[in-house]
Amino acid sequence: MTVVSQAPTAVAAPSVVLARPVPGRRRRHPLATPGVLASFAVVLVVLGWALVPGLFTAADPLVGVPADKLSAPSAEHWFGTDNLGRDLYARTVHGTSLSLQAALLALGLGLVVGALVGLVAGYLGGAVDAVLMRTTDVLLAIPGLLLSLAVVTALGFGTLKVAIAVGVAEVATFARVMRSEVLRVRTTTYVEAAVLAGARRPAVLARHVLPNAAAPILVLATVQLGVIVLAVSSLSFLGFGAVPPTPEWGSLVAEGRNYLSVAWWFTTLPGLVIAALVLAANRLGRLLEGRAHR
Amino acid sequence: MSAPTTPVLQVRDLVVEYEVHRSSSERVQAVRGVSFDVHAGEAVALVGESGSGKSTTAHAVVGLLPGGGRVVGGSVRLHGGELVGLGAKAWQQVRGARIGLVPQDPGIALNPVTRIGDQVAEVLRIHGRVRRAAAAQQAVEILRSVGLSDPEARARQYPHELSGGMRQRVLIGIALALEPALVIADEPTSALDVTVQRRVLDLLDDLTSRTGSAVLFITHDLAVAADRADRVVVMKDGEIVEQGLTAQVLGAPRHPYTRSLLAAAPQLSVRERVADPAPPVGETPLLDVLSVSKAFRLPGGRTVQAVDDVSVSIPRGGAFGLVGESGSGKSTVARLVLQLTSPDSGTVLLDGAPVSDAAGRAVLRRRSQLVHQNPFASLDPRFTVAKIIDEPLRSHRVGSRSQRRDRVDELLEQVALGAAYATRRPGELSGGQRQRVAIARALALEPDLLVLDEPTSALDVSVQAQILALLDRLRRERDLTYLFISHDLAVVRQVADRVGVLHDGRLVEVGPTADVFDDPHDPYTAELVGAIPGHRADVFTDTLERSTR
Amino acid sequence: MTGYVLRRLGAAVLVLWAAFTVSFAVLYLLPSDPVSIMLDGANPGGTVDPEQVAELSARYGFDRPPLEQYVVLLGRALTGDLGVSVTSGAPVSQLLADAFPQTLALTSFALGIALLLGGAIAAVSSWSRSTRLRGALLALPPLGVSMPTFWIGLLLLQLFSFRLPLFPAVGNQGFGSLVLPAVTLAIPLSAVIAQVLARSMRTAWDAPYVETALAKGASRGRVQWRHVTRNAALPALTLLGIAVGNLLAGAVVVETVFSRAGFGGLVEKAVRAQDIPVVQGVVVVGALVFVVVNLVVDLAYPALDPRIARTPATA
Repeated sequence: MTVVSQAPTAVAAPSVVLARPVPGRRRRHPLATPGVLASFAVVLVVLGWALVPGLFTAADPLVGVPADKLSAPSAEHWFGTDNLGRDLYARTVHGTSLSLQAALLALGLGLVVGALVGLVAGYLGGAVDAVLMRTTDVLLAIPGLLLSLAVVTALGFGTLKVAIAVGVAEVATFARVMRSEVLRVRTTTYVEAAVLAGARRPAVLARHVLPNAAAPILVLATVQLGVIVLAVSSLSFLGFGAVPPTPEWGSLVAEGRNYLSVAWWFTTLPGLVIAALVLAANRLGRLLEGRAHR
Repeated sequence: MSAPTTPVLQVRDLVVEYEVHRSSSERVQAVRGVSFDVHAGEAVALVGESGSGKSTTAHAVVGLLPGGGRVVGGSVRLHGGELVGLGAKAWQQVRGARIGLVPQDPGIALNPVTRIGDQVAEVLRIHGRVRRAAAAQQAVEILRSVGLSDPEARARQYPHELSGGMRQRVLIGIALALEPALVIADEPTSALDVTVQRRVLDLLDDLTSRTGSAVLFITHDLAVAADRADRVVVMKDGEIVEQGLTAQVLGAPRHPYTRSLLAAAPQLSVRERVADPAPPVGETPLLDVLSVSKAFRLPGGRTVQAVDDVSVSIPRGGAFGLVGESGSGKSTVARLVLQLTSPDSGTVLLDGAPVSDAAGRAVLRRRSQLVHQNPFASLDPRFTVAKIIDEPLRSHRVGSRSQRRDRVDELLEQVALGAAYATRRPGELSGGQRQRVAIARALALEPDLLVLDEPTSALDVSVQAQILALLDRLRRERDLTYLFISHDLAVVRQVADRVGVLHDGRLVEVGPTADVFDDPHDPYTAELVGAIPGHRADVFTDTLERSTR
Repeated sequence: MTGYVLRRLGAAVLVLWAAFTVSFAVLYLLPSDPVSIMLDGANPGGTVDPEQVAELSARYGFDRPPLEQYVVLLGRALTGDLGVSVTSGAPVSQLLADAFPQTLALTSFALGIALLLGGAIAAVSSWSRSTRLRGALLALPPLGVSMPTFWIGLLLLQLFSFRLPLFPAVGNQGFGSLVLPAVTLAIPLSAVIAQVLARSMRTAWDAPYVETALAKGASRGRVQWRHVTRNAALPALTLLGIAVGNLLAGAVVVETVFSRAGFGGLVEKAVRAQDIPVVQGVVVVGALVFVVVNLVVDLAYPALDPRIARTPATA
C-alpha cells in the first residue's frame, strides 16, 4: 500500500484546520462606531421630517411674522427666520418631504432603468450589448448636470421634472455597473460549475447571476443617493424646482443669497442639513460596501 | 558540522504580534518564541504550511512586517548586531546591503512601469558610492551574471516583457547585488513551472556560494528543502516543532507533525506504485479523445495552437494523468472533453458515442463532471452546502425534494464531511472542506467520468494528501474513471495509472505511469522528471519508511 | 501606433456625433412642443399668436418631419453653425465663444487647485505612518463630496467677502474675483481626486514591488515618490475626463453663485428662458470637452504606461 493511506483519516480533516484569528478581520461590531451611529441618527431624523413634519415643528412654514424677520437662531427659532419672518427650521422640515421624494424618484428611475439595461446588455451580449453600451458611453460623456438641464429645458420646471431629469442622468451609471456585475458573475467558476451540473440559462440567471449582482447595485444605490440629493438641490437652487413659496432644500438656500451679509443662518443652516444627509448616506454606503466585499 | 563563533543570523525567542483590527487593541501572536541560527555559507530552510508563521518570521528578520505586525519579544542579530528596534535610517542601511530578499512571486515583485536596468541600479544607487552612469553599467553586469542573454537589451526592457523565470533571475540579481551576508528567499519558485524552478534554484545556489552569502529559505515544499538546505527548521502554528540537519529531520523525524508533513509530500512519499490491473483488451474505452486540435486567436490577429492533434484513451475505471507546465494546453483539453469549448478538428467519444451533438452532450452532462482547480471560486458564495450539492440533482430533476435531501446527506458522508455541514456556506469552510463539497457535487449524478483540473493545487500539502486519498478511495469504491490534470508530476505519479505529457499543445509521451517516470523517452519528459525536486530525499525516505512503521 | 491614434480619433468623433443626437432627441423629440416652450420662455404668460407659432415653426424647421430636422441641424452643426438663440437672436456659436474664455480660466484654475490639494492629501496620507495624521487627512474627502457646491460658494462668500473683505463677491474683474469661485469648484473635485488616489496609492503600497524596493534599502519617501505615485496615478488618469466634465457642470452653479459671466451663466439663463438652441450648444460643447480630454489621456497613456505601449494589439 502507498503512504497516502497513512495520512490522517478524512473524518479528522475539519479539526486540523487552523482556527486562529486571522489578522485584519474585524472583531468590533461594525455598526457600533460613532460615525455610523450618527449617520443612522441623521437618516432617521430626516426620514421623520419627511413623513411627519408636524411632529417636529409647530411653526407654519409658509406664513411668517414680519416683525421677527431676519432674526438670528434662538430657542424660539432654531434656524432663525427669513426675510419675511418665517421660521427657517419649519421651512427646512417641511421642505424635506418634497426634496426627498424628488431624490428617491430620481434614484428609482436611475436604478430600475439602469439595472434593466445593464442586465439585458450583460446577459444577451453581442450586438444588443454593443448598442446599449455605446449609448451609455454617450450619456456618460455629457456631464450629468448639463444632461439634466437639457431634460429640464424640454420638460419644463417643477420638482417632478427635476427628479426625472436627475434620474435620466443616473441611468448610465447604474447600467454600467449592472452590466459589469452580470459579466463578472457570468464568467465565474461557480456559474460554469452550475452549467456543468446541468442548470439551464434561466435558472443560472435567477439563482446565481441576479443574487450575486444585486448586492453591488444596492451598495451603489446608497452611494448615489448622496450624489442625487446634491444634484436635485442644485437644480432647485438654480430655481428649476418647486415654485415659491413652497419650501425645498435647494431653493431655501437660494432665497438666502441676498442676505448673506446680514443673516448668515439663512443659507448656512438649510445647506448644513443637505450636507449632513449626504455625508450620512455616503458613510452608510461605505459600510455596506465594506460588508459586501467581505 | 563545525560550530563557528558568531552565526550570520541569530534569532532568539522571537515573538511577533498582529493587530486583529486597526481600531481594536486585540492582538494575535503569529510567531511565538522562535529561535534558530544561520551560519556563514549555510542554507537553512524554514518549512511549514500556510499560517505556520514561516513567512512572518522571515519578514521580521528583514524588518518588513506588514502593517499592524510588530516584534514584541526576542532578538534578531545579524553578525552579532541587534536588529530588533532599529530606527528607519539604520534599517535602510541593512536592507539590500547586508540582507537581500528574493520575493515570492516574480510576476508582481518588479515595478511594472520602470525599466529592468533602473530597478537593478536602484539598489546600487541607494547604498551610495556609484554615479548614475556607473550604476547603469554595473546593473548590466549583474543581469549578465544571473544568466540573462543580451543583458544590455534586457536592462532597457520592462518587467512584462520578461518571462517569470527571467524576472526571478533579475530579483536574485538585485538581492545579491551588494553581496549581502544573508539572503532571504521567500518561496522563491512556488509561482514558477517545475523546469524553471530547478534552473532558478541552481542559479541561487551557484551565486550564493560565490558571494559566500548565507541563505534562509522559506518554503512549503519539503522536497525543495530536502534538495537545497543544509538544515531544516519545521514550523507549525507560529512555533518551531523540530530543527536539525536536513538528513536528520527528513530521514528520522522526531515530531509527529514533521512525520505527517513528510507522509503528505507526494514527491517524498511514493517511490513505487503498483499499477492497476490492465483493463480487458478489446473493450470500448469510456473516454476516447481522437486527435483533437484547438487554436485561439490572440488580440492582434495572431493565433496560438493551444491543443495540437491530441489523442487520449481511458478505459473504464482507469485514471489518466495529463501533465504539463503552464501554457501547455492541459486545461484546454479538459474543456474540450467536457464540451465547454468545441474543437477545431477531431472528436471526443464517450462510451463510443460522439459528444458533440445535442444528444451526446446531454449524455455527457449526465455522465461526466468536472472538479475545478480553485475551490474558493467554484462554489457560489451565497449558496448553502446543501444547495450546492443539490444543484445537479435539481437541474436533472432527480427524485423528490426529500429524496434529494437524503441524497445530499449521503454524499456529504461519502466525502467525509457529514450531514452537519449541509447548512454551512462556502465562506465558513476551509479550502479542503470546499474541495470536498465540490467533489460531492460532482458525484451527485453518479457520473462515470470525473475530470479533475488541478484539484489540489490550491491546497496545503497535508490537505492535498487527504483529498488525494479521498479521490483514490472514491475511484475504487465507485468504479470511477479519472482524467486527472496537473502541473505537479509527483501528484500525478500518485494517482494515475497512465500518464500523458503535454508540451506546447502536443502530447509528447504517453504510457504507464511507472514507465514514463522511470524511463522517459522524450527529452522534454526527461527534463520534466529530472526537475522534480526531492531527489536528494531518496536517501532519507528509506529511513522514513522504517520510522513510520 | 498610427492605427491606435486613428481608432481613438474615430471613437471620439463618434461619441460627439452621438452626443449631438442624444441632445437633439431630448430637446426636440420629448413629448413637448418646442415652439410653445420657446414662445412661453421668451414671453412668459403672454398670449400665443398662431401666426407667430407658424412663423417660428417654419424658421426652426419644426413643421418638417423630425428626421429631416435632424439632418438639417446636423449638417449645419458640422459647419460650426449651432443655430440662433431664441431670446437674443445671436448665433449660438458666437455666444459660446464669448463665454468660453471666462469659464476656461475658472475651470483650469480650479483643476490645478484640485489636483494639488487632492494629490497632496492622498500622498501624505499614504506615505505617513502616523495613524492619527492619516485618519485626519482621510476624513476630509468624505466631507468635501458631501457639501453642495452652491453652499460652499455661499460660505466662502460670507467668510472671505463679507466678514473679511479679501475678495470681491461678484463679477469677473481681475484675478481676485477668480479665487473664491475656483476654490469653490475645486473643493468637491479635490475630494474625489483624494479618494481615488488615496485608494490606489494604498493598493500600490501593498504591492509586492514596494516590498522589493524597501528590501533594497529604499526609504519610505523614495518608495512613495519613485514607485507608488506613478503606479497609482496611471489608473486615476482615466478619471480625468469625467472630472473635467463635472467641473464644467459645476461651473454652471458656481458662476450663478458668484454672478460671473461665462458658460454657466449662459446655460442657466438659456434653461430659464428655455432657449433650446443655446442649451443644445452647451451640451454638445460639454461632450466635446469630455471627448477631447479623454482623447488626450488615451493618447498620452501609452507614453506613460509601458504595458500598453508595447502590446502587439497596438502594433
